[in-house]
Amino acid sequence: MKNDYLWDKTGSDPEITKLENALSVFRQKDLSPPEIGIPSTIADGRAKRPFHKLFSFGVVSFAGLTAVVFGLSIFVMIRSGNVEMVNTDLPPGVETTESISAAEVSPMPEVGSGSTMAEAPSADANKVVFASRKPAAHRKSRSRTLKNQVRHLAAENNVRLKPGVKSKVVLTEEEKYAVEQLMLGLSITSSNLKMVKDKANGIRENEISK
Amino acid sequence: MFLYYFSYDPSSVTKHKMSESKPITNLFFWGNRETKSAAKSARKEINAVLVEQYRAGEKDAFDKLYKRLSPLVHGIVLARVPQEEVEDIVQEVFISAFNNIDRLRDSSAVGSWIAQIARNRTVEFFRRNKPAEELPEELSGRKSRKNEANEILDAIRQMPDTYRETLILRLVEGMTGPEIAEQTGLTPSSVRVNLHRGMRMLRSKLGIEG
Repeated sequence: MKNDYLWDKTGSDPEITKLENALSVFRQKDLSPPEIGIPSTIADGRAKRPFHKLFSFGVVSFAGLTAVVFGLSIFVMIRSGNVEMVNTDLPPGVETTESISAAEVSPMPEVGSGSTMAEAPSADANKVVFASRKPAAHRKSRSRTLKNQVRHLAAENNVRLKPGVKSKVVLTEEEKYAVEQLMLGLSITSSNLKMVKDKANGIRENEISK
Repeated sequence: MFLYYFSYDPSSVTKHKMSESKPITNLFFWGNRETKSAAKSARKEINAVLVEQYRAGEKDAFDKLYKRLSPLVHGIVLARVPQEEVEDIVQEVFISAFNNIDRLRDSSAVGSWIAQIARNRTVEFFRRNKPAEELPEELSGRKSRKNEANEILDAIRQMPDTYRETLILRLVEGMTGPEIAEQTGLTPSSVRVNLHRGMRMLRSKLGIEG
């Protein structure tokens, strides 16, 4: 019991009680706290750490979420093919990876003209350049759509298209005459230019011989 | 037959006030470890809550903390410095501690934290001031009790630090062993050993047969 009283005041111990009574004169009597103002750190709000911690955590988490959403959206856009893919292997000036012949995109001749489709002009000059914005599968579907349109129009105009062969453009008599006249004019112009060139070269030769 | 005990009420304003005596029917009440540990954790929780309230800017929290911790600080300072300097040093310890409350990381360890500040402050006191000369004893009957108390206090002060501090907290400030362990941060077994060995040494110094 004596031991218990010394430890947690259970039981009784006259000796210890006597010592306690004797030393009680030294016990703190005035329990009034000193005048202490609020420290500046607390007044400035720096002591409010939990809020700052939460705020910084919120900012970091929000930034992380934003980055994740942004990355996912870019990934989805790339996968869906909305981003323009440029083929760098093509010659300059050509932005497409696919060309469609003029026969497939040029307007069909009027019904009743009795003419078949005109011969296709030079393939290089009449290649239509499109910027490819969709994957190859979609581009193929677009060309198939155009071919279907050509076949449909040919069927309407009773024009027979050979499978696998590109249709040639056939000119009328008037068109043929116009082409001939144009070619004649071009030849006359070229011959006149040649005569001028020869005369110019002749004058130079006479000057040189002199 | 009723057995009475005095219980320590953690929410009481001062530790020196005993709560009203209550009859107990369960002789094993004080042997209930769960009750003791729950009481210990409750006291720590109260201290932690008061510290957080003070950090939030409530000045009342400081008053309550002062009243809960001043016996601890007073006992530690009394064990080292002359009695006439104790009150001033206790005030300085609290002012210094609560002006730097931001340095306290664990709010529940405010007792051991402020106890260390008190010890450091006493060391600083002796660096600045020379030990005061002892006043001559007065022979009046009214002072005999004080002389006896001084004699006992001097005997305690001559002991090693660990015994000295623990005995003063127990015999002068009236704290129990578990309370001393909780406030100072020592283990209960260490406090128990210090109390018993210190009491044995005090008995031998005072010539009291144990």
